Amino acid sequence: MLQVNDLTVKYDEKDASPVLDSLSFTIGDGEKVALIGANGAGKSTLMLSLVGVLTPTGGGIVLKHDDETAPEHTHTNSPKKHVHDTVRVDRDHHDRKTIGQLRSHIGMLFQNPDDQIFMPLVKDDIAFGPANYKEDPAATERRMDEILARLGISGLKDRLSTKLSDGEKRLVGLAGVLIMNPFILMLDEPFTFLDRRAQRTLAEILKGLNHTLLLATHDFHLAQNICGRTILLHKGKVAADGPSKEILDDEDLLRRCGL
Amino acid sequence: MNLYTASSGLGKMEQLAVGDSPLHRLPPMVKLITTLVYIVAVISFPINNVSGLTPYIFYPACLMPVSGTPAKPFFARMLVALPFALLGGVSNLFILRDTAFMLGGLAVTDGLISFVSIMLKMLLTVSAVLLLAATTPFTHICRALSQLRLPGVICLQLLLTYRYIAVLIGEMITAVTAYRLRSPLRRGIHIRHIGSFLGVLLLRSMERADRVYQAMLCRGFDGTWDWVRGRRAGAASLAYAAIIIALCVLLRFFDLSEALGNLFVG
Ligand SMILES: Nc1ncnc2c1ncn2[C@@H]1O[C@H](COP(=O)(O)OP(=O)(O)O)[C@@H](O)[C@H]1O
Ligand SMILES: [Mg+2]
Repeated sequence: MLQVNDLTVKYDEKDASPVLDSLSFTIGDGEKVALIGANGAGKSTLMLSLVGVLTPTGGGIVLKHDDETAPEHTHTNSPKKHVHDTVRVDRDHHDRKTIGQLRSHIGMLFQNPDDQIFMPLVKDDIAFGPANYKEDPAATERRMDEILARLGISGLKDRLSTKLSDGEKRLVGLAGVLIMNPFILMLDEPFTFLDRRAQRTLAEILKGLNHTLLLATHDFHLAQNICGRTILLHKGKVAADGPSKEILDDEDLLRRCGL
Repeated sequence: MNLYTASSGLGKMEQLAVGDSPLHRLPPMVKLITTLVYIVAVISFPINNVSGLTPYIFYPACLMPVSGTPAKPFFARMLVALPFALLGGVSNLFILRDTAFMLGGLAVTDGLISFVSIMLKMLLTVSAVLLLAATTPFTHICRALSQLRLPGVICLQLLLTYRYIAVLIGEMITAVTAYRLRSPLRRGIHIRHIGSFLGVLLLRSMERADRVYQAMLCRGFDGTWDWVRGRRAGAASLAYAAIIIALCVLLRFFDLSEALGNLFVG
């Protein structure tokens, strides 16, 4: 379970108005939530705060991971040491160890795949995360093959990461996140740069995962298809939070929030 | 050469490096050491010695066909280093003007000899580095370096720099293309715009590097990197290393061209 309590974030302490203004919401295990909002509403900022890249200036995040609810992660050779942890992150709890724990539970896919993939070879890039947690290379390789097969990209393993199409890059980036066995997956506008077919492929893959999902997107159709619940951000505040269908069909509400 | 081909050229060696040949299959450490020995041997020759240097051509001459490295991209990369060698060599032509010996009716000056020697050294060392790059993925080279006790942080910096160059070129391509599309009549970039152009480029690539770094943090990166062990060197690779090193050392102290010359001239 991911609990966001009065989360406030500023890029600069001296700024008058915060980019995220006391956000509060809770996401249950296995829940799939769409995060929508106009450009500049704070979607990316929220995600970066949730993985500890940005420090909250107020409020905080509580992450409770109850192992029974995510059976998929118990049998794999997970790099996580603390499975029943409660991780608390706020202004005063932002040390290396805490953030490390947070990151081992939350995987994030960046908006631009070129930011994410940095090793020259696809297989080296995917193995980068597990190597940071000192996982045995043979075990990494086994899990890599499994994940690549699940994403339908086994053929890309030995390719150069700079020579991939945008859709392929996106899936390789996703593989690099999935191999970390996060139980929460955050995706920042994953459908941008993709053609319709690649979008549908990715959507099907995301629907099939049993991870908790937070999905920032501008594609309402795909959002509704994948996520039962939607959170609408407007100027750093939660403007609406509820069933996707209700929110995404509410033209008035969307227009008021710049969409 | 334009920007687009430059960026695809960067990937070319890396693409060759994942190929398969006896040379590709050697452990990276063996290739790294032999390359270093070869380069040191070549560089350590005195500047006025061309005949001793010539037999070192054996290295690219044998390894290029064995590794299946295509000639065209290979020599294209080499051209990049050419201007630097020319710059270093040409000045010698004018400084060292004493006649070393007469060839036919022509006076061969010390400057000419050192010019040829510098060019030859450049050719040999660059081809050795290119052969290493064309047969060994960069990550593996970094790993071998770390096994040679180069601190992990430095190896990682190398890897990041390598990645950063690709990022920088990518940003440059975007910026130049955007500029050209909005100034179709102009060739190149107007001198007046170069300042702001470079400024934007720098900012953009810094932001980019920052995001790349953040993405690395999100995957558990903590500033250190434990390099996974590579394969152990087998008998064949040890034999390869022994032969290359022996040849490099032998040719360093024994002038093969001169010996052959004496044999024929008597
Ligand atoms: N690195 C940054 N430094 C300062 N302000 C930023 C930075 N990144 C984003 N912002 C500001 O934060 C606000 C929210 O941005 P962002 O989270 O990227 O929105 P979204 O992802 O919803 O489009 C914007 O007003 C933007 O100008
Ligand atoms: Mg964004």
